[in-house]
Amino acid sequence: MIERTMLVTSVAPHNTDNQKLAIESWLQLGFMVSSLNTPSEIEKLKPLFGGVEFIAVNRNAQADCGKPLVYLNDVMAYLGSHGSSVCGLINSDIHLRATPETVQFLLGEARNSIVIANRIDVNTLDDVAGEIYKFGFDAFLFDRAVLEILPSTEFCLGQPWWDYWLASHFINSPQSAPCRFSLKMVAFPFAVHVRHEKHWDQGGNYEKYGLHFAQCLDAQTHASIKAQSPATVRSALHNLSVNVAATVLLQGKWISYVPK
Amino acid sequence: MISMADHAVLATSIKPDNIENQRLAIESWLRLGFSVASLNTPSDVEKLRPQFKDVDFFAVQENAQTRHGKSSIAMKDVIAFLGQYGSPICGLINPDIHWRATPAATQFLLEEARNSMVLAHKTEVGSLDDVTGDICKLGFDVFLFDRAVLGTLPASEFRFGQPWWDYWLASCLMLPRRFPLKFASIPFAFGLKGNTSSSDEANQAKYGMNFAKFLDQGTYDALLKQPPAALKSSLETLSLNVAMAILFECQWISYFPE
Repeated sequence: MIERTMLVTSVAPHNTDNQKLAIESWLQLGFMVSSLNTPSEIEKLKPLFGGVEFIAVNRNAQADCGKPLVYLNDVMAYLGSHGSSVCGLINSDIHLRATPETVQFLLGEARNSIVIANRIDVNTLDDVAGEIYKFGFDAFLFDRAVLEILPSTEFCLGQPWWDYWLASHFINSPQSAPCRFSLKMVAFPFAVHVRHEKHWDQGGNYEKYGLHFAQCLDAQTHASIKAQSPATVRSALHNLSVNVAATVLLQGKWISYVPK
Repeated sequence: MISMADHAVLATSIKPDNIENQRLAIESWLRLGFSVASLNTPSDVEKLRPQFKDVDFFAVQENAQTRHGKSSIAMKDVIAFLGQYGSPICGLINPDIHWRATPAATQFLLEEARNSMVLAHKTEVGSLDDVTGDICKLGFDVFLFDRAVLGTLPASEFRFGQPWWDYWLASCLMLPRRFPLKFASIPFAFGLKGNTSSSDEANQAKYGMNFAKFLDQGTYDALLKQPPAALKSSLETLSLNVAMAILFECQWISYFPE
């Protein structure tokens, strides 16, 4: 029997029409879709999202960031116990525009690797062109064995920096042994996103999770950013994010697929 | 509808070797409606013209470099030529790049080049039928830009066909930012593996130092003091940094295949 690839997400309780279309695009490509949510959200969302398996979490990040978001740790634990041999983590408003052959190509590339896609921002789903958002990663496909090397964190889906944290685990540095998984970047149109007002940059969460990212990266970076005045922390974190994004782009193998 | 490609010229410099691959590459440009012009030395023009009937050849003066078998063309000659040619959209492309895009995707790229500069990597493939390949992210093989950009380019000693000209051309738009720089994240420019002629170390160093001087005098002075082995590694690092700086300066544009 051919194994179906699992994409995991956390459907947000707002803007459900757009997410429904996005997730339909995944289901049409043959992915199995699971969404981790709080029990109260599941009650509201389940009737709206046929084809999605909802998984209830028994804790959420309300106390940390003011919203009942799902912890990345819980997502990874779920994938570890229920995920397919290649699995995916994707933001719930990302529309996949691909042929089945393109998906097969990407799943093949994800073996012993992590494949990362930037999103392409469009105004409407009918647009034939868009702008790639290079300061963030919205879709990940990876070998399930990747989960073995990921430590526990405080990141949650729907807040910034978790994507940088995940990608940064596959950056090689001269100080450490080379990562056994390859880092690959999708360099063709694949993950489409309809522009909307951003929801994640509220109440100091950019700084909070940015500092957590710096802490995960190394103690020295964390200490030097934390020592800065509140006015300059944000720009220091922005510089850090540019450096990480540039390093991911530089070290990642850019992969391309052109249907005949 | 008239294709915008009809109003765009792609300039290149066909090499006197590996003719068949270049012919296939250039046919892919002509099929999309581009005018194609090749700048070469008079002796190369004589050899190449009968083999590329739909290409306009323009002879440039020979100099010490071209006389010694280095058939690279000075960027100042390319820029002067494009200025005189008069196409509203100009392109500069290596002669072994196969353009695999629909007319609609090409039209999109040309529209994006208005009042801007669009640049792209090449994807290296084993054969022209391959659906996937290796993207060469260090270096840019295709440029499309508004003719108005030409007036902003400073005099330089870079040569088309030698290293660093691509970084120089893109960097000219970063300092100062007079036209938007756009990176086409669409696989449309393909090169056959094994067909790239690598430049010798002496030219890497020579043009790398030219670039450093263009960038800033302090960087140039620091590199000048380095022994050859250290200089090579410093220039490699500079090249990585410049590639990333250009990419981050660019707006990344994408087009979905029909």
